[in-house]
Amino acid sequence: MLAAQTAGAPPHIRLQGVRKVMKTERGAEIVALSGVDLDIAEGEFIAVIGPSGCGKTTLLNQIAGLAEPSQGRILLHGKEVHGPGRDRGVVFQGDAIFYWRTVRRNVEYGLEIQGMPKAERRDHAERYIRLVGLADFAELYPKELSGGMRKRCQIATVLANNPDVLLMDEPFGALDYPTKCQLQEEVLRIHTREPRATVFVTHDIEEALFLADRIVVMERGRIRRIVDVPFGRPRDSALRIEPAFSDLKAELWALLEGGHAPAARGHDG
Amino acid sequence: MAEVMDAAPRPPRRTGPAAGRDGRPLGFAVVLVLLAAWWIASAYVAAHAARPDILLPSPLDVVAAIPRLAVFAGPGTELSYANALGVIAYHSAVSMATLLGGLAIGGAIGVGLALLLGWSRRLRLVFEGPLLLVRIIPLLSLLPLFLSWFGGTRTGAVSFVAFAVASMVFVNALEAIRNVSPLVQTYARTLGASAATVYRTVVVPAMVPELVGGLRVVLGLAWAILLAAEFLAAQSGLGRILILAQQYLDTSRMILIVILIMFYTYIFDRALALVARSLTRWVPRQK
Repeated sequence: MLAAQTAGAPPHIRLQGVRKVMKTERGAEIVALSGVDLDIAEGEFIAVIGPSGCGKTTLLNQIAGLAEPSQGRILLHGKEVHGPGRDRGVVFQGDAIFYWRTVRRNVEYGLEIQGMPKAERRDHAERYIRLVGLADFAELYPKELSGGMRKRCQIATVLANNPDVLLMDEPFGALDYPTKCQLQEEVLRIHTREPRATVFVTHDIEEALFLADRIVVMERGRIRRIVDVPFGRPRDSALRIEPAFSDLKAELWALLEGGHAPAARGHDG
Repeated sequence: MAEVMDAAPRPPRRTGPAAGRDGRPLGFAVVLVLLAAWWIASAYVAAHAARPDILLPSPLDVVAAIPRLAVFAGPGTELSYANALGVIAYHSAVSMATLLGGLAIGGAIGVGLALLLGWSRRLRLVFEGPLLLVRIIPLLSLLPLFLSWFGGTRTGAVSFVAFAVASMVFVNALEAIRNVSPLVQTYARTLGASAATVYRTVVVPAMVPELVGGLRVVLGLAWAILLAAEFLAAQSGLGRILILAQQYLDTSRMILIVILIMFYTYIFDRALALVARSLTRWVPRQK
């Protein structure tokens, strides 16, 4: 099924001493990331949380290749990453969608620019359109879809491209609560079906807990702690009301609230 | 029994573009009022002015002037409706060919230049200033210059319209390129598109609605530019016979030609609107 995946070297991401310094308009330097080390295993789901401005989106952009680190390296399969590429699919918070293409032709985009023949492309796209539940809407333009459906379209487009790594930058931040929960469950279902290394940036603790294997808690450009999420898979919405879930949620809250406490390293971070 | 049949449910009222037709009776009424106002004004002028036919002929005078258009076919031509129709057809065809030629050439140059400059930062640095300088030259001030270069030839008129269209379309197209969402371009990059592919598959389709919107304005102005060129530097065309009518002091014929030009402008605008609608079906519209 996942023909692009080669046996042998497992796809994994390694961040080595990543530091990112950005210049403000006035020329002052801001350290957005500093000394970030992180290994992500094949099929692992990582959530990155932290207060706004903590560098979580910057971290994601480095992996996506949308910005180069000032120091340090980002390795994918042991090879250094430079610039964006189809091996790292990104689901953005905003409306990243090709407005002039129908849902079907949106999902076909990545395959089309690779030169996949039309019939093959259509079959392949159809699978992902069905996977995200847009089969009845395939011939509609994005303007005719709801915000949640446009997000599904984006996810299908990125997945159809069969990336090694899935990067999601607060993808559901702009959606209403029920839609958000529904899409979280979809993400879990898809992850179970096609497990791939995922980095999911969010400011929503519950979302992070519900989805991730490990939660990276960031603060002022550094990894403050990495928390293991003990819940097994597959997960469903019943998990949200389990006492263990609430306990861990409270713990993470305290961690984020505790702001300036001395940085403690998690057990396996 | 027939009444029962009549009570059958009516098809639901159409919404969307067709719903705009609800305003039509009102628009029609306004036209009638204006026509009546013209008539009353011309009656007043006829009662008080020495040469009412020059100052303000009545609508009937204008209709009666139709056969007199035949005079533009050459001296001695019989002043008949058939010959007038021939004159209208000939000069309309000349003007439209000039207009369409100028639009096609100018549009291609304007969009082409904008695409080049939108693509390359270096080209932009070198050429954007000079090209914007060309844009601020009052177009009509260049007409005598075109007259010197081309004389009163059709090539001159086509060139002038093309120049005007190119300068307007260029600015519009470059702005349209700049307004293409950076997020969508970045998104395409992460899906594996090269910079050139992003330009071809994202920037070009995404700029179309703004370009087409600007084109409607350009089309209206292109008619004005064409008429100006024909006033000064042409042997035929609607602008030419309009200025000839003025020299004969035949206001009725002038009004006829103006009405004809209004009709063509309207038809062109509707045609472009139709094309625009099919090209921009995907554009999210404000409610």
